[in-house]
Amino acid sequence: MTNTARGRRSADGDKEKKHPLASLSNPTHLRVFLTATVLAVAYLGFYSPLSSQFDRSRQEFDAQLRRFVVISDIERLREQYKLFKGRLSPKPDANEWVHYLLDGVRQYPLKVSMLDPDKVRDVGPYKAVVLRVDLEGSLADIHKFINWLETNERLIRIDALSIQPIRNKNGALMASFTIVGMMG
Amino acid sequence: MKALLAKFMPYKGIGLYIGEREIAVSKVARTPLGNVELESHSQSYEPEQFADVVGELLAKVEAGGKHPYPVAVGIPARRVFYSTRPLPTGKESGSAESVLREVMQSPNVCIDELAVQVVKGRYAKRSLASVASCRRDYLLDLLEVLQQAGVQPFRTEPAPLALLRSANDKRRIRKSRPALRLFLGDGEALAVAVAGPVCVFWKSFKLVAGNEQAALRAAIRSCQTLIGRFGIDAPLDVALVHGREDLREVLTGEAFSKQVGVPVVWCSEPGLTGSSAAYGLALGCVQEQPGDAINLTQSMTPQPTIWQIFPWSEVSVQVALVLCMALFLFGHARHVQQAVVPVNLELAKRAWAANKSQADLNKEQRELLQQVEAVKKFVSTRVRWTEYTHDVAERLPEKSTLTLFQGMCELEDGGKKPKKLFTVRAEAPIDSNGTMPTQVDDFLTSLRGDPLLKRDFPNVELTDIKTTQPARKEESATAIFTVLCVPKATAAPAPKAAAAGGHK
Repeated sequence: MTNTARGRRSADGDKEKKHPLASLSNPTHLRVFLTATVLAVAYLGFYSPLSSQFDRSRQEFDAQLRRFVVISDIERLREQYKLFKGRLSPKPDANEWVHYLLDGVRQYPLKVSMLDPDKVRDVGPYKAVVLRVDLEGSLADIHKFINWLETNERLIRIDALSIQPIRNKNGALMASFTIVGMMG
Repeated sequence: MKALLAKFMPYKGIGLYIGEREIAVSKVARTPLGNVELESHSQSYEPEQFADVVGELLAKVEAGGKHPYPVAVGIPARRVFYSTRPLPTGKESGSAESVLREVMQSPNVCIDELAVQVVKGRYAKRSLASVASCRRDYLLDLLEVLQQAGVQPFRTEPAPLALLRSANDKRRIRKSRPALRLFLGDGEALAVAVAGPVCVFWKSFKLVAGNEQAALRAAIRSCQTLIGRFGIDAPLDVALVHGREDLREVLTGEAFSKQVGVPVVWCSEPGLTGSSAAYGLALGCVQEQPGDAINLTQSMTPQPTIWQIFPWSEVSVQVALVLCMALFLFGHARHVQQAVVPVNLELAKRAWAANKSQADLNKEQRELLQQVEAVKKFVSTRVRWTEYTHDVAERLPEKSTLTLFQGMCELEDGGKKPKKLFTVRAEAPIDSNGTMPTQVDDFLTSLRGDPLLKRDFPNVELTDIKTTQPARKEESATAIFTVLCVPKATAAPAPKAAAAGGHK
């Protein structure tokens, strides 16, 4: 009896009870099974955990980078804020501004004809006082007063001014101002 | 290109045809461009040399070596009993032995000494069962010889089926009609009747020199008659003759076709040779799965273990690809992890922000931005009037007097457009001859060239000019003129002006 004949008998004997993995003896089935197994291992063993890890790392990186960008911007803005913080009036009070302006006018030989506080305006998050002032004096003094306003330690701007000679007063000028002062 | 590709393809098969006096072997590779025969050998033998010649030929094609390519074995037509019968509707199964008994129509024939195989196929919506049987002793001897050569056959099938496969590879026929293929050899021929994919029966006959035409005519006619007995109702569609170019003219003539009652087509290959059968056997290894065709030694050889048929090379390529993908993903994830390190270091340096939430930081950023933007706007849009008082006074012509200096540069308030203008009014004496003073032109030219005005109020226009008569005789008349300076017109109103101009 040859080996192949013995093999035949054993094959005949096993014919009745088919093992679940018996279909894998078909090379095509085996290839499909192995490819599916490799794909499953690749997905569950590598792709799924690594891609989750990658997503977590990416999210952490994005969050930290966003935080860093905001913090850097705050630092830059703080530096800029420092530059003008001292130039804002200590409190948002129009009367305090009137006094401050009168103190300024007193430094020069100018006569105040009219001083009229207007409605407080909003400038971004700040309030701004609007003062209408009429002054009498020489061109040189008015020039000095304008210079005082424009180089003031506080944030002031002249929205309107008008200078014209006063009739019957030789050399005297009438200067009308609309002054806007930023309040803290 | 095809031959080069074939060398590197893993799908290769070997066909071994064992004839009565000759053994042929063929090695075929399957490529995306088609099948390629890599090598082919044949050798005649004496019965006592059988084992040696088989071993020698198999060694030539490297069967059972480092790469155990599948080997299909073909046995001569006369060693095999083959027949086909239609299966009754609803009776699709049955053991090979019972089908053989039914085909032989003998209840007492001893089939224990026979190896039997049944293959089912469909033709014209009917199930057909083809049964093949061969003496078991002959097959066992054959297997023993192959075992000595280190080969376990992938399939053992009758040579006519291999020739049919080889012929199909060279020339296909319509599958919807039955056909006859005739394989011609030097002194012998084989007629194979086919119905679609099913080989219905075959018939060997002698070809006596000078009498070939008559032999072929008789064979074709008998096949036409016989095919109806196998359950095929339709007549033969065509007769394809393979091999024997010397008979081409005789067989393809109109007269022969009329005599046999069916169109005859001639093909050069495959002829009735061992090499052609070996080629067809090798094709079966690379084209078909083990269960797709008759395998007479299926019950005599143990099933190959999974390890024996395990596709190591394919799995290793797949595993390598998976590992590459894993490495790529791992590297990518690590790259992102490393990228966050310098950012974290920078954040660690800013201790003040450590305990602040992202929402608090965003709020602070927003507030600071509003404050800075408000102040920037407040400062950047103002006009420094001291520069103007000084500059205009210097540019005023001699003997002229400034009567009005008016400037307006409002801070933007909501949606309201802020006013921005600069007005200068001056007086200049008129000459005694009454001509308009040149100071007016000089002043206007001077203002238009002023860099300050060019920056803030580039549009300088003389708006009015009046003359006043003196109250006293000794005084001269004066010209009062007003110059209005405004910024450049914004882009928005321009199209309106253009449109208005267009209408004009």
